[in-house]
Amino acid sequence: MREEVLVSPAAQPRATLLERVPRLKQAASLFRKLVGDKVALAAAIFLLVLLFMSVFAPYVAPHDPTAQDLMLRLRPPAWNEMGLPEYLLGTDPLGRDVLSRMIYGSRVSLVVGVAVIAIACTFGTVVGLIAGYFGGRIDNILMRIVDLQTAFPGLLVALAIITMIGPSVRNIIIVLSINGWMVFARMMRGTTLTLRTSLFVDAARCIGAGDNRIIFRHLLPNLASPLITLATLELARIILAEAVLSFVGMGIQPPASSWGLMINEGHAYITMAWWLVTFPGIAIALTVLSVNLLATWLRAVTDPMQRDKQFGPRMR
Amino acid sequence: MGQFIIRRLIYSVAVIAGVSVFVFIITHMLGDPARMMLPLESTEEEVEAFRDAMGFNDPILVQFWNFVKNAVRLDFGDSIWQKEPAMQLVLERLPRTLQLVAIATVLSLVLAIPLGAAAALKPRSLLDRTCTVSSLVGVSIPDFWLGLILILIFAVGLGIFKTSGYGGLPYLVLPAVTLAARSIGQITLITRSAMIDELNQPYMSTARAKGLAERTVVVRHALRNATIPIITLSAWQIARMVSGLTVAVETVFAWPGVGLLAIQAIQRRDLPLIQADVFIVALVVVLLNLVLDILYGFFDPRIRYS
Repeated sequence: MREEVLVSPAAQPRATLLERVPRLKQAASLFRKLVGDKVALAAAIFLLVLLFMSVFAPYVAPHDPTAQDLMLRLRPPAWNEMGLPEYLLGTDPLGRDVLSRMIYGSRVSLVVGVAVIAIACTFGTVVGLIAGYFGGRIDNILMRIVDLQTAFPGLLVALAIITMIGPSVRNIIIVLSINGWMVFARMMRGTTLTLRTSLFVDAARCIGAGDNRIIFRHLLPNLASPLITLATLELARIILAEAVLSFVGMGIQPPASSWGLMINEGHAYITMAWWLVTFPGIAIALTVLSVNLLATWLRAVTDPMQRDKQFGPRMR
Repeated sequence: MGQFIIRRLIYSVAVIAGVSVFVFIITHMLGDPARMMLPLESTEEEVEAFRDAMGFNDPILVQFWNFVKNAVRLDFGDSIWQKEPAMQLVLERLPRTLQLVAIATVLSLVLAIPLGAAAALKPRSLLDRTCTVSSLVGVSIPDFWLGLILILIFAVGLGIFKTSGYGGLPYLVLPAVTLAARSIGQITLITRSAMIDELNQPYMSTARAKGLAERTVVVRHALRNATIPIITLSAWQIARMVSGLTVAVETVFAWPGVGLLAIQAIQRRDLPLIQADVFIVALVVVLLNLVLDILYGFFDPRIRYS
């Protein structure tokens, strides 16, 4: 008898892959919304192209970014009279190709940005969850530490630490992470505080779920969308911070290249070679702008309350 | 109110204590301060003698006690580069940074609040879109690069302003505009969003229904209620400018403030000067926050009691 009641999965009409995996369905719906928004789509495509170029830099870059040729120094971009067609964006004072250096430089921005977000976001989220969930004395102590560190002059402290431990990609990541985790802790704590007393947490506790299970299986998934938005916004800030560090000479060191460092190197030649500072700056600005646009769009689609604000209420 | 101020004061003192501990850890416990300050070719004996003279061989707690004793008197020793008390050098440069920050702040408030409010009044209009997009661009452009481009256009190309240095208006305009760019963008965005919130509140209908002029409704009712987030953001912007944004901008324009001094000290590995610079900037930020907190508590009683 029982076999007749239970329909075997094979007999059911085949559910599409999308229907069977709810996460995938969410992602697909998000993707459709992205295609519908021209500005956000353009930003996403720009970032994807950038990611592709930095991953495949050795194949994409037309020249070796460190190859010097003093015969070719300070050539303007290709469309200029003095320019050479094989050096599209011109050459620097050592005769290195500006475009190739920019392509390799994008690696620094992306690696530093993503690594710092990964570290700062993980640490900040854990601190925020603990503070918000347990409350009381733990909350008090943790939040005082957050307050204290927020009051620090961030960039100056970062510079001072780098002076002592020496500039390198690893150290930049460390310093910027020290500087960036507090925002995540603050936001996570606030959201956790409001969710802690909600029904589904009570329900989880009733069926005997432990603190760990409640925090990581019940609270965290509900915090994902504000977290992703904040992480995107912070990514933009971190990319700018790396550029500033490299620009003042406390970031990436030559002969490696990073956009901030290229602007630093071009600074002295600004009156005779405008292309040296212009192109890397445009690259930073476009990248950060794309990240910001994407963050704005993300906030609008994941939080309906924000949508009216973003685009303005439809009806007045 | 008195109790509130005392609580904030105690908190500020705690923050300053925290900052000094942090500065001490950075400068005395990360790396080797003696090797860092001496020229690379110094012999082992020279380094050792220098360590003795500077007290780097003392137990760490003794070093810390000496550091605290001196920090309380705002004495961080003589700058190695300038051979003068480091604190005095920093204090000489401080007003110039504050001058730049003050002008940039006034500039951004005067421009951003009317722009943001106008954008909020006509959502989805051409003006609104232009405002939002240019604000986002302003937020995304690296300030030091913007400075260089402005130099290229207005100083090198048109010759209206000076490329760099300290002085009157011809020197001041470009760095101030550069510093203001990002906060203009952010304040425009927050004004717009706060105004849209307020304009949709029921009390707006009441105000209109009792026959107030539209101008009064917008300025006296909506804008006044939207000021709290605007003030909060501006205060945060000022603190951020003082505590770091000026570093890059002052470097670009060779504006002799504390930001440029920090870079010069770092390049010369001048430890006393680095300490004094970080400490003073932190002190200014803490004082700024203290004043703002007290002002908040004064204007909004809800904050006093939380």
